[in-house]
Amino acid sequence: MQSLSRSIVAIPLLFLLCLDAGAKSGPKFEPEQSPPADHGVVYVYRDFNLIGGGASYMVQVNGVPAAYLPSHGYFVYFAKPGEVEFSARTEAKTSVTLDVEAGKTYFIKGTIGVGVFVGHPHLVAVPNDIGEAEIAGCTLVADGRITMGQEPKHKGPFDDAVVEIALTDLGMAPVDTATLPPLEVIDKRTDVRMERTALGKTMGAVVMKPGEVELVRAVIGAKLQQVMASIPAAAEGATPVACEIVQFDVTTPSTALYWDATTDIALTLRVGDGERAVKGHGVKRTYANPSAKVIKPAAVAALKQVADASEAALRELLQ
Amino acid sequence: MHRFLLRGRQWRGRLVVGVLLAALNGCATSVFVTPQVTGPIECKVRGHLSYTGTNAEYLPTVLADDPASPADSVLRYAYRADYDLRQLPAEVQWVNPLHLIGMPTGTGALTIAGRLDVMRGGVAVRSFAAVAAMKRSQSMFSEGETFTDMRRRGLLLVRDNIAAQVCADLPTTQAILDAATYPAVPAGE
Repeated sequence: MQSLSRSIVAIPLLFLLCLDAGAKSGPKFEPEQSPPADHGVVYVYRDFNLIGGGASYMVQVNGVPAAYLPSHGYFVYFAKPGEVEFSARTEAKTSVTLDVEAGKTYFIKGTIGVGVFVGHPHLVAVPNDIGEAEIAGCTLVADGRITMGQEPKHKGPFDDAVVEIALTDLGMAPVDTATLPPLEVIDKRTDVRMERTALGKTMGAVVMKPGEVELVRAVIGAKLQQVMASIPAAAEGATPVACEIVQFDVTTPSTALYWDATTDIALTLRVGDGERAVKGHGVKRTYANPSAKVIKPAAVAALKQVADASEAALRELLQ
Repeated sequence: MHRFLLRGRQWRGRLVVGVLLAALNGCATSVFVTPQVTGPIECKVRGHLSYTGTNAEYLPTVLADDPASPADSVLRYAYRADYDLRQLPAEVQWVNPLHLIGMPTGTGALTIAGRLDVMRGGVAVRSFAAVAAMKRSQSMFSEGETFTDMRRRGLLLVRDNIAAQVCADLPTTQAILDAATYPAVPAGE
């Protein structure tokens, strides 16, 4: 019974400590000495709070993402005169609009409250004397000096998933690309989907290493080399081979319980007037996190299918 | 026994409906505008307009910029917005089970104050003012109306309130603005 009551106390405490992961770096608050002319200065800050301290949210200005606002962090926004809306959204939306005048300073305070699944962000304009006092202990977030119209590109709160694949992962021998037969690889994708998502919300990009074009060149090139070696007539003619990438998607569609790390590849191989379509599809289910380690087997499975189908297609086209 | 169970079910139903109503009511924004004026807002009062705001939508529609007015006849309109966000301490929000049934976790209040000064010779000789006090509560299920929406609603209410006051006082106000000099010098002096 005693251990149970200890657990009852310890678990929430551990949880609260885990939540405290606010802004750890960046310089302490300093008032802007030389803001751009004809702009108002808006400081957006979040003072320290243990509860919800680990959660940060993106603040948008007139609908354009400006910066993530962690606990104990701040950013400064140089706004052009006029009505400027600062907003943030998790499962609920908050927004506050300022009538910005050039040369004037404004403060917006961010907090976080309880929500059903995630905390609700709150943004409110505060008088300058209160803002100046409360922002004093806050630290500047990364890329925290933003001028309206020059907002930085944001990757999101998640790191990119970098998936490294070598030919040996496909059970193929490494090839010397310098010795590959003539092969033109053209990326014809009109909609590139290389992204991890959770219930439709982005969790960051997926980056293939080497890139999709180089990966396809290596796989198709290696198969072309094999086929040409087995068909001497094809090697003598040295007919140029073209490979069009129609689709190379790496996605993680999800349900409330799991993710399906999915890779879909569609290529068109052309030799002279002949063409063949080859496809590959790989899926790996995970109940934890669609990390690069989970995505890789799905991508490898899809590339293996493409490699096998390409070998058969190239034989038909080159004979 | 059966009757007792039925009564229990009825009470549970009423409790659920009550909690839902309380939760929904908690999210609605209460609005109070003062002074309480009603009347037409279709009149026009002419003078030189002075407005520091950037959105002309919030300017009372009864105000008309008239370059032909005496140079010192100025209609100066200004407004301000004061925010007040009150939240229960985060520690309480996280542990209070009543929040699960929609008990408010805090309130957001916004006061919009608008003022129209009828100026002659750089001095306000007649003023009209209106205040819209708005308050909404938030729960873990809903944040209610955003401050941006409340601000817009409040500014429009204040705009129309001042317009109604001006229309009710139009002859006097326009006379002040149109007088060649102000204060008007009595004839014979």
